[in-house]
Amino acid sequence: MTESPDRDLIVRARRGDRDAFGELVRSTQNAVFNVCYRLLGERREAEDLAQETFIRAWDKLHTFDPQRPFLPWVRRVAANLCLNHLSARGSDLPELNEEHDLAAPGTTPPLLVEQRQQAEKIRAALLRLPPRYRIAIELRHFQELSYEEMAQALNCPLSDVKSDLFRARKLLAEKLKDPDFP
Amino acid sequence: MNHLSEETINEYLDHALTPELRAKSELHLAACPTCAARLGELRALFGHLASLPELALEVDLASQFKKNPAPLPPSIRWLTLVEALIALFALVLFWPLAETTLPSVPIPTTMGFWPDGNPLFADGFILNLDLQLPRLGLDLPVAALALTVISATLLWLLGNGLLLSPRSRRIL
Repeated sequence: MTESPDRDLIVRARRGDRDAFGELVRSTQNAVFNVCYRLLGERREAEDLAQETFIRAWDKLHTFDPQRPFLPWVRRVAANLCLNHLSARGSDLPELNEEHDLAAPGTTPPLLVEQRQQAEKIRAALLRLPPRYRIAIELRHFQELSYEEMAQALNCPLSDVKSDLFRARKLLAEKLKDPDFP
Repeated sequence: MNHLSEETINEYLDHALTPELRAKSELHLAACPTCAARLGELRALFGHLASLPELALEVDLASQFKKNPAPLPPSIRWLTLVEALIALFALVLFWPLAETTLPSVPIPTTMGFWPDGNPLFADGFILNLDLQLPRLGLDLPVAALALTVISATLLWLLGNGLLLSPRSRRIL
């Protein structure tokens, strides 16, 4: 197995070196924040959950294998935290924040507007999904987990994972095809 | 013609089919426009999701994991010490003033202020406080003492303001 580039930092962090853990946080915080934002849809809430993710990761670092890369693990922690948070919050849909998406270099303003509108439509469609479908899309499409890894992360049967994922895709496709949505 | 199931089309795009099943699916897709169209729609969805841009995080979450807080700069530490000494000095100088002004302090009744003639209290006061403070032997004009107290107060406020400012306070 090739050595993880984070290995030295993880080993130092496991010994209590907060600066080393801070470096791990700095390199992964944007990705973790985006996991939370895709699942929750509200910036402030996503920042809070991202912060909680790293606190949880710091507490659980002794259980993490330093040979493995840090980012996939901490993103899964974030996804699980968000799932628990969504379950506790109930089915209230958040108002979608105004976005500040990273524009592709060289894009002209009309194209940028179209890209932003498309992104907003996708985010709105994701937020309309029930939490378990949203998580399935997040783990498969944004974290690139296999069906088996998803089942392990969510602690549920493989058949349920596949069923949720396929159903989520169908609902998303219908919403994105709807010209009147959102 | 039997069409491909939703599960098969999804697993085809997820590369989760066995090689044998994948080969059979490809043959069917080549011959069935309906299933090819369904595959195309699903593939388009995958494209939409892959195109979703990431947002920029606007706060630094790493700062809470700083190892040790930065020590207070030397100027702030010296200022704190000077403040404390001036306050002590002002207290020593103020003591004779307190000797002359505090011995008889009328304290109104806790039941409220009663005007003269109240059947319960003849003069409106129920208590006279007579303080006997130790004499230090210093004899300074009241104006000088007042100036000292005011200066000490201003220095104290200024010093605490500096201590409480974000740049100088300790990170706890």
